[in-house]
Amino acid sequence: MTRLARDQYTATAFSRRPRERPITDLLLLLLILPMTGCATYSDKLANVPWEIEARCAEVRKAIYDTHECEGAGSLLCNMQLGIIEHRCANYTQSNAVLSRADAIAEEQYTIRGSRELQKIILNPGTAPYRGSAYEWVYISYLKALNYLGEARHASNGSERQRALEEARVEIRRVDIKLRDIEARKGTYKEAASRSEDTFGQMFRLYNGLQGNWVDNATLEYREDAYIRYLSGVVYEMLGEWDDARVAYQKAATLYDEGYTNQYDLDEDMAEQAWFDTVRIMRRGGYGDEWKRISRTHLSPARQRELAELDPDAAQLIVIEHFGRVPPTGELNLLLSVIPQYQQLVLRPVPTGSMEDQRAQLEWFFMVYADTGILKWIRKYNHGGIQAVARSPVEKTIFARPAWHLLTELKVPQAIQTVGGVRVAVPYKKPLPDSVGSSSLRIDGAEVATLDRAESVAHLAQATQLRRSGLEIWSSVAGATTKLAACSAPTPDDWLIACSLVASALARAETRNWALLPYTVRLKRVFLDPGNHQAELVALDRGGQKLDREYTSLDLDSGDIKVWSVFTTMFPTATTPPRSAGAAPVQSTSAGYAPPAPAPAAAGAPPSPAPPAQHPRQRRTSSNAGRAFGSILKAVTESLDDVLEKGLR
Amino acid sequence: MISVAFLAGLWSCTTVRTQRVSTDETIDLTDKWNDTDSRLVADEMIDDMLTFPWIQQHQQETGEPRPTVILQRIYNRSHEHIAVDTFINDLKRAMIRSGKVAFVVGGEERKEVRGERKDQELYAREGSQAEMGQEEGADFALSGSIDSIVDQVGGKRVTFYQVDLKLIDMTSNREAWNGQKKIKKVQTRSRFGL
Repeated sequence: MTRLARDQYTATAFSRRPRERPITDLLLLLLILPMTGCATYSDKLANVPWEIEARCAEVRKAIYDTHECEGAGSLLCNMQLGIIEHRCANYTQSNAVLSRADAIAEEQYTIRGSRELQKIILNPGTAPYRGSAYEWVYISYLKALNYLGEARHASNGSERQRALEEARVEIRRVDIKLRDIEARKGTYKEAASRSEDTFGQMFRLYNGLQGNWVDNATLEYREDAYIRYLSGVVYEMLGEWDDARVAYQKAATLYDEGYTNQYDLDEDMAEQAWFDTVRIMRRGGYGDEWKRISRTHLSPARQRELAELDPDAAQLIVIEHFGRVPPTGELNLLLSVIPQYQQLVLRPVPTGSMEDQRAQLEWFFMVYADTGILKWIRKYNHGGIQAVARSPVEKTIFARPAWHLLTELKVPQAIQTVGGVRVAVPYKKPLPDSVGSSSLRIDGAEVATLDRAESVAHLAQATQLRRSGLEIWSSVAGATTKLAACSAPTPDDWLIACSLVASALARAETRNWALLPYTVRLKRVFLDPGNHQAELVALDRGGQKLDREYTSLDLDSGDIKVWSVFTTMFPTATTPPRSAGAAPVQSTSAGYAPPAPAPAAAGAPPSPAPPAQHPRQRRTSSNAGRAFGSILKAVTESLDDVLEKGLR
Repeated sequence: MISVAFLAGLWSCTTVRTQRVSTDETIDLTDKWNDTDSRLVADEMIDDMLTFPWIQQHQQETGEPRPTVILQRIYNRSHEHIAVDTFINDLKRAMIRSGKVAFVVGGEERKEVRGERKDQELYAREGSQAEMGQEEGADFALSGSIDSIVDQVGGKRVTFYQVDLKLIDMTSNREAWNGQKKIKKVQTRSRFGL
């Protein structure tokens, strides 16, 4: 069919149905109404209490009630149970369910065409959850923590040794996973050199013109510096110095080469990893190399600390898992059609609270909106300056190559009949700059502030961003496939019903390992042998206490103890911490927002001032998160107007 | 209609079926350490250990008919949680059955036996009590390690296991025997499937 004939065909096809129908407004209303009622995965988890340790049975039951533990949700169910059992100190049970999760994750390496089709035709929630690379790594991480927990509570030396060896097995397994990821995704160095070469620069320029802001190369999960650091700890506990040195050095290099910047972590972690590398090298076998590394990578204060350090001092490594990874929300989009230009157009339909709506519009603008100069020119040619002005809240799909097929399947006609079809994609809210800090007290004296070693929240956000392109294409494909199924010559009423069903079935993939911590903070301190009382105090960004954990330690000379704790971040600014047995706090869509500073209660002891920042933490560098934040802020301000007008 | 039939085809029926098979049959479902690997290691080690001249040398040097062996740690440095006891027990059983070697217990097991003997002193009838100070000292100590090397990219994974066992002469610290078994596996998974 020639282009002219095709255009004539299209014009004829659309002339059959009047564009303005009195029923259209009502249909649109029917279409939009269910959007507010769609339960996301995080809504389902709203009944899972935050204080898992105090309410193990209740939390376990909530997971069984909300997950298909033998079906599509088996991986997710086992991962969630794994973290719950770990926090309830049922280490053996936790390892059993996590082993099951590991086996399922491995089985799901193969992408099944039938399942992918099932996701598109029905919705993603009906297909088995496959998980993300970082979630697979965290299965082995948690298993290693379980064995470290067993080692800490072992009644004799041989039991402790056995548990440590099992922890090493998990460290080996996680090493295999990370090496596989790195082999496929490339190292930070390779990524940096690719982005600097001519092709990379041209590619960036083209992407900029197209308005593709999401650069997958900078979002890629290539390695895990924190997991490498923990590997070093396990090897050191086993007295395997060479492996410990390799792991610490790998962690330090990764933190320096890009991990710190990519996930907005504390720069002190890189220095800590170098410190431990040098500490191990100093034991012998490396000549003067350790002195060179010490001069290059350690501040004068840390060099002095190293010089004065007793090699047989006892060590305490505090690992704090703070809060929960932010939930994934559902962003509703209205798919409409402009037949004369052979375009499909997606517009966001924000729902929920004002905060949610703003976040949805921001995500849409950042990830999907028509923002490139090339798109603006095409839009200008088709619809003038008004079309360009709509760009921040529109994604245009130039469907000319597939238009003939779509028209034959009557997809554009079906969309036009009802005024639009709902599609849904996942989105993440912006992450705050800071979620507070935690301080460590030993025998009543504050000794250190913990360093942010890992941000699972950033890992999850980056993963979601990387998937955003695929998500929108599969959502649109799902909608058009459902409409194409109604393509038989049927009356309009059937087409309308079919379109409504397609809209109602649209769901975004909002499942994720939601009980993982928001961030992991770490501190290693050297102590004299003997009994010590350790206390960890988690503070919000205003310096208010969020949670507090204690432990008693008996340390011998040369001992290395790992104290792994989970601290709670309460969901909203106004929600006070609950006592055990109180009604569960409902996790709101703003579930990850840290509480705002509240005035100190009368008579209560004054809150400690926020800990002073280490000079290395005062960064003004252009880290991805901050730059992103400032762009979003600017965009938000311009979107406010659009939003307010839209809501009026 | 075709769409409905296609959708229906997405769900498949599964049934559970179990059958008994010989314990010698090799069934590799994955590349993980399994019962066949354990059996192969035990068989290799038994043959090697019993044909090595350390038993005769010990008999010539000491005049004792059977050397006594104590089992020390077998370190698992691999990437798999391996039940080391399975092939060690096979090994012990074969050695004891040959009548050429005797084993004495060590570690936690020995502590428990000693505790039991103490209890007997207090509670058991005179004459039926096990005597204190009559334990047999070990002539040799058996120890070893399991190591692995894994190389994986995407769907292809090469796994190499190496099991090393050694017998140390408790008097001279001489290594009287050293056994080794290597196993290499390749697993390929396709990225896409139906």
